[in-house]
Amino acid sequence: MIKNREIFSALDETVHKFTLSTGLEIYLLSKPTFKSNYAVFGTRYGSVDNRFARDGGPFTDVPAGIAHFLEHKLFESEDGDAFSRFSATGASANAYTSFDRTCYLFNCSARFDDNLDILLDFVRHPYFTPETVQKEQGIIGQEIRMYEDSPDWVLYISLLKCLYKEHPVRIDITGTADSIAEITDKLLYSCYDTFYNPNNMFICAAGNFDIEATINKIDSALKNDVGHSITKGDFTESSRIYKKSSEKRMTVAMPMFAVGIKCDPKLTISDMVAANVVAEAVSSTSSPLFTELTEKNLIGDSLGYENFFGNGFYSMIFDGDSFDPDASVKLITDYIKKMQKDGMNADEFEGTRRRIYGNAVKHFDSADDIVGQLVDCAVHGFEPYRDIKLLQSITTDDVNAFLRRIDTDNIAVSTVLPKE
Amino acid sequence: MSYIKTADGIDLIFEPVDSFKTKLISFNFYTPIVEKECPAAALLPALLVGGTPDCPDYAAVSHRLDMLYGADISSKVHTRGDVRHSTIQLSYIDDKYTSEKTEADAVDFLFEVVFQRFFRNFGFNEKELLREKRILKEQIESIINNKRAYARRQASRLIFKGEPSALPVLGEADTVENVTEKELISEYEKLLKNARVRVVVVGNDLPDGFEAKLRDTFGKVGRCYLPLPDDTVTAVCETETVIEKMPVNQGKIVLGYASGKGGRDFDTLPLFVMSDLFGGGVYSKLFKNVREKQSLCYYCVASAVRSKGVLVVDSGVEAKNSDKLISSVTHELDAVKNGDFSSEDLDCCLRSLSDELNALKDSQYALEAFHSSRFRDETAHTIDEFIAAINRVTADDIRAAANSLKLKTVYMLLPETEEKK
Repeated sequence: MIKNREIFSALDETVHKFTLSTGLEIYLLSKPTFKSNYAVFGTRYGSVDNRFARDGGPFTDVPAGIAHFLEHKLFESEDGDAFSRFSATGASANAYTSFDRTCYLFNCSARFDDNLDILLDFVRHPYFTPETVQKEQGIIGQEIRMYEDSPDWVLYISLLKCLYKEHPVRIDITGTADSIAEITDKLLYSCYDTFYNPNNMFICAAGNFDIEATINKIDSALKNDVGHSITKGDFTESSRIYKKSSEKRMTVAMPMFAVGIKCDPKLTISDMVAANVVAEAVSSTSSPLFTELTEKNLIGDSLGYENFFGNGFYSMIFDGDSFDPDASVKLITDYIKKMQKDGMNADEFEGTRRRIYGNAVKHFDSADDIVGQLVDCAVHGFEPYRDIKLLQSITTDDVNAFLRRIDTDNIAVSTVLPKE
Repeated sequence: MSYIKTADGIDLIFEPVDSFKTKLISFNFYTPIVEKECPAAALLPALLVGGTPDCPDYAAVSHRLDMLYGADISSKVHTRGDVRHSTIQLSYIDDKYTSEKTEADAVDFLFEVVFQRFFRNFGFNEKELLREKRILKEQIESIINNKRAYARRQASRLIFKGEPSALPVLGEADTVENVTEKELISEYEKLLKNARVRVVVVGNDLPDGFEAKLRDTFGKVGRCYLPLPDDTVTAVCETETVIEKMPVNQGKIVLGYASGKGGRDFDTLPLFVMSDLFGGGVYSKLFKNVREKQSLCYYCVASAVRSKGVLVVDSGVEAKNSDKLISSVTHELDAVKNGDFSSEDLDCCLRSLSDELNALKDSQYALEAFHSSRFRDETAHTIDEFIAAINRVTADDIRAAANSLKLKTVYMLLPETEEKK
């Protein structure tokens, strides 16, 4: 039953947000001129959720990588698999697991209703047996091996292990060969029964479907589902970094670095907008920092960034390739210190704001970008498109106030160096 | 869709789409791959987008783009058979969504990037040459970071040995340093004067006066169009196996098959469909049997270089299972050769391909790529025409395409510490 209905609009687009009586949240955006549709059925469950209790019951501890393992297994059923069902309709289906979410999705230009039926069905009907669990060990084992050879991933996860001591965000999403060997069908059911309940889930979709028909279909299909409460494991994470640095050696052409500034994880949406302005300004190819890094041959053609945040964690991360990672990191942190002292200048602020605004506009040109943003809203509890409105009203004072909250001495650095 | 031939060897394709809030324009240049020209050809597009006479460096270009609400200009070099495809692309926001009009300025900037140095005899200064040479060298060497891409590249050297497409698209790292300004200017002139050119515009309208501006600008260049030769069709020959060892955890296997039959886009659709049924989506033989049933790998996929009649399969696998993987892939290919696939399998494949192609219409970049990759024909086809054509491919066509394939190359990248069993 639809308990609540809200509308959010920006840039000639309108998203309808529904909340069912079970707690399920549904975000639907109509794009009548689009030829295709993109839909996600997701849960606020990811690799960080390694200790939990359902409906006030006892706590369960699970091995690393189980959320991702479950994602793989959910496509299987007793009489076949969801991939075959989607193949019959022509849709392209996939799924992904991140630190704080697992999403099942399809993309189709025909038979949206049929594909939605399949999605609603297979995600809600798990089938795990000892035999199917064992079969998946081989496939996921190779996926783990693939990531072990990926210097980008090793750089990133090593940085998280330096930044965080207790927070499970430091655990690799896929787990390890040893940890996934501990996964059983019973543990999978325990995770499923806890996290795959409508109180913890969401549906996001964009495309040429009819909104009213779609919400009625979802409401009808899920009317007998029951919501549960979840208690997640407790831990205390220090505001300070855990380790200053990590160095790994792999077969790479040149040194790679990632520097993370550990920040206060309690962020409002206004803070996120300010953080994006800061990170964009620092890493932009128009910034004096980038010019200096390039002139000193300390960076390639770009400096990457991410505002990495979720429940209980936030770090501002910059990364790149450099023959002298220490020198690059020093220039980056010195530049931020200078920005803190002098404030962001008006030209830099306006250029950055225009660029972020342009990127926000571009996102509406892609159904999967639209849905990706709605998924973020569902996971973090943000109001859709509030960030675009705040971007239009944010001032240099707001950004400078945020800048002053960053502690550039609270940093960790991860490097991947060529093998000797 | 509109197709306009504006001059000899130059055409303009306009895809009117009213779904988007931004517009995309690409200038695409196609030249034969010649080994000694590779480093200059790889450097040139990056130098052009890195600065113009009026915006002399990255910072100035970036600032200009910032003021255009984050307009994005980029360059890329691709290998398309034996042809180098160099592209400069601009994405910019519709005036409807900004407080000031910036579209006209964005289009002017794109023309500035592509043409201004030429018309002002500007050349390339030492500072920007040093910067871009360093970055290009790093990009070439960095392919080793991505073991799958590295394995594909090494395999391509073998599969296409003796052909222009064997050369890495960015050239070799040790040739970058010696590129001179003179060579770059020569390459730039060749691009504007001699190359096959296709301009693609995707958006709700063609910018005011765009066609006239294009004709006028190229009209002043002094064109002398040199048509592209057809691609060399890769010959079928005895299987060559090469093993390379590296400190990796997972083995990478690349198999190259040659059919001895190449051709143009619509002539090679059986190979396109066969490749998908064999090793494309989740309905394919390789996904269902090699990954799901045997749990041998996380990925095992096929793709075709149709103009050269080549099929490539690549997979990541535990080193001790590499022979088993090759055997499994061979078994599945034999199944396709023997017609061991149902009409339902073929229907799934065609339905999925059709659906995926239809969905391209919702992406400017996908629409642009659809047209810019089909440069051989001096005409343009719509996505719907392409969908109709692939749906005319029959089971017999697929069997015939599969049966023409012979294993030419086995490339394996294996861990240093393990012996292959």
